Amino acid sequence: MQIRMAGVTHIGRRRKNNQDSLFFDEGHGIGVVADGIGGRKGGEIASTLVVDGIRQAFLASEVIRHEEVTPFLASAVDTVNANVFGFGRNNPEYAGLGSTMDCILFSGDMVYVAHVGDSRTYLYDDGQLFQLTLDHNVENFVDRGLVHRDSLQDPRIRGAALVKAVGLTARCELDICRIKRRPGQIYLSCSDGLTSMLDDREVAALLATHGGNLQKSASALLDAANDAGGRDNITVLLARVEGR
Amino acid sequence: MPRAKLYLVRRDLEAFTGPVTAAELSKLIERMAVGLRDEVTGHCGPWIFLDDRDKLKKFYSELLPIVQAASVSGWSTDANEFRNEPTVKGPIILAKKKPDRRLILAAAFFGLAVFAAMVAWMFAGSGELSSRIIGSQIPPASELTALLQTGGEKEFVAVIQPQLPRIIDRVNRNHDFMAAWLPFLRAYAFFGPGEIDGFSSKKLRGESGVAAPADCSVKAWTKRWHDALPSFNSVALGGALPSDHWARLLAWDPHWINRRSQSGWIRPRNFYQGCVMAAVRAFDSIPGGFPADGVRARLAVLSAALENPGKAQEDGSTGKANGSTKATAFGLWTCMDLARSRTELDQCLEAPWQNLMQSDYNREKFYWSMLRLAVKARSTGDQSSWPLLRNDLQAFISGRDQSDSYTRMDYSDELHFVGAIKGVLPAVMDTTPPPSGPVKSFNEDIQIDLAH
Repeated sequence: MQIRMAGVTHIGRRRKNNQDSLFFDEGHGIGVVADGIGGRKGGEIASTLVVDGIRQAFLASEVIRHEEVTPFLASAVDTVNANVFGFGRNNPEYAGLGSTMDCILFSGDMVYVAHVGDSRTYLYDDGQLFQLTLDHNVENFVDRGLVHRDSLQDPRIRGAALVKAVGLTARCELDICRIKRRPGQIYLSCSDGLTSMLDDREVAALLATHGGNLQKSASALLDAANDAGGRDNITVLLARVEGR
Repeated sequence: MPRAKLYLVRRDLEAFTGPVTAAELSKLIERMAVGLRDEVTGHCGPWIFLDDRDKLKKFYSELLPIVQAASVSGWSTDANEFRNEPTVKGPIILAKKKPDRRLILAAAFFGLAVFAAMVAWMFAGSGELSSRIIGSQIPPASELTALLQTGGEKEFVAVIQPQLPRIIDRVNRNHDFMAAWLPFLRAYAFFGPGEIDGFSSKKLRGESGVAAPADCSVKAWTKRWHDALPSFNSVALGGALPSDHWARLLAWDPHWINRRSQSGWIRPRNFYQGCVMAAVRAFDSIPGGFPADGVRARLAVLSAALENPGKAQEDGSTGKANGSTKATAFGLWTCMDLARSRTELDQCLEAPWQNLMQSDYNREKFYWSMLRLAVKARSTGDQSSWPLLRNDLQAFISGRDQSDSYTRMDYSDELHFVGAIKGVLPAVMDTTPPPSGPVKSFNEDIQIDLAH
């Protein structure tokens, strides 16, 4: 089975710079979306460090066997986290920088998704859309009993506040999930600049309309998010499993 | 032709099954490939636990009869209950063909149970088979807690060991059981190899041991110690500190660890203590001599300080004796950790460790030790120590990070507690609310135990 990929990143309509970063390699079946946080410059640096770090780790690795994917992703994110965290420590003007990260990796007949933060990865299969990742924010963590409900009483903490991000602390806990791939499936990874502007049904409708052409689908999603206001940077990565 | 509605099933945020149709989902539940504690989502819908009847009814009502049938059959729920409904009532559509099969199964099961009971009775005199059958009951949590709290480690392990596969199976399927059993699984793991086959090391570790290595198993530590052997000498004599877990662990501040969250742990009291326990066990395979003996002594002090925090406070005068015959950085760190006052801390600057204080890190550790004494002075209202400690700390802290540069232990809560070094010592404990600031990451669940 072959993998086709397409991706776009855009500053949006309100922001003065693009703190999102994107990398994908169709030949190797890997793609990364990162959304930087922590000041104008800091966010940009953080997301670039994340995307470059994952890319370098992947290119430097030998062939990754099925059972090695999870340790590889965990180790790559550990290294990237140390780099971003160290950068913040060594450059006080960028203190507090960090980044979300969604990395999608095809290996054998499985698809692996490594996820930190509130960027998202979806599966579009047979005309239906499923969110694969859990947003790492206070609201979800309270809902799942991972953070005490009293946290929401604190006016400084909003439900959408991030609980996890790459580079915020010395160690970064990430979610790694796996799913069996099937011909015709489309995987969508995106920053919250897309999902804060379009609801899931709008995303599904656009994929249904343009699904045959990945590049057109990515552009259509980006344009729709900008048409809806484009309040944040927008990054879209699409990967389709060919063979049907 | 309209497409069939599909569902995706998720287990522990790690593995997905599907997308599948409702009929396929029903078969998966029947085949026990999906449990009621797994989550399900549909097209553009939210994730819902299959045993959450209310939400399931709201978002995927077509799945309700399927999970009701599964619930009645007893599979995947531990008390035959839904998450938010004590008993299952109402029409059960998919159960129509089931009763006969269930009756046959029940009869067969009953027959087997009677047979087993008879055999057990026959063998009761030998004490072999009967103890096996009794052992198939998972002991109550209160009994296990009592064993842990009274130091009955061997008994605890002996009770858990025969039931382990069953317990692991249940915690992996059931979130509530997981929450209840996690402290016991952690105890079982760290009384032994520091890991459990078939159980996620990530869950064993939890979210709060951020400054500790991810893998704290005895196996990992054995490798670390053997790899580290050539570097012992250099570190002991004050050479450059390597960026390795073994050296960081030796530099750990036991008081800092004892002040951190112990939620979800009984013994060890948190992941750091478990990590030290595994490191100590692994060090048994290292031969003696200099400087390995210094490492061994340092591990013993850390271990004792974590096992019995109160005693570590009383042992201040033994700091020098606990080093080794030669002056090593490990002995110096112990001296600082055991100092009970500014005077005792100052003694660590004198011989035999005088020369080692040239190291930037040793000077830094000196000040983190002073912060500990400041926290103590602040919480006990010690008017004589506080002004001196405050002035020294103020000079040290200004313009630097709030974390230990080497061990990565974050002292920001301690610094906040002592009033960011600017406040005056009150007669009672500080009850000032924390200043407003950026949202703190919940990865570091830190709580200062003021009573300590």
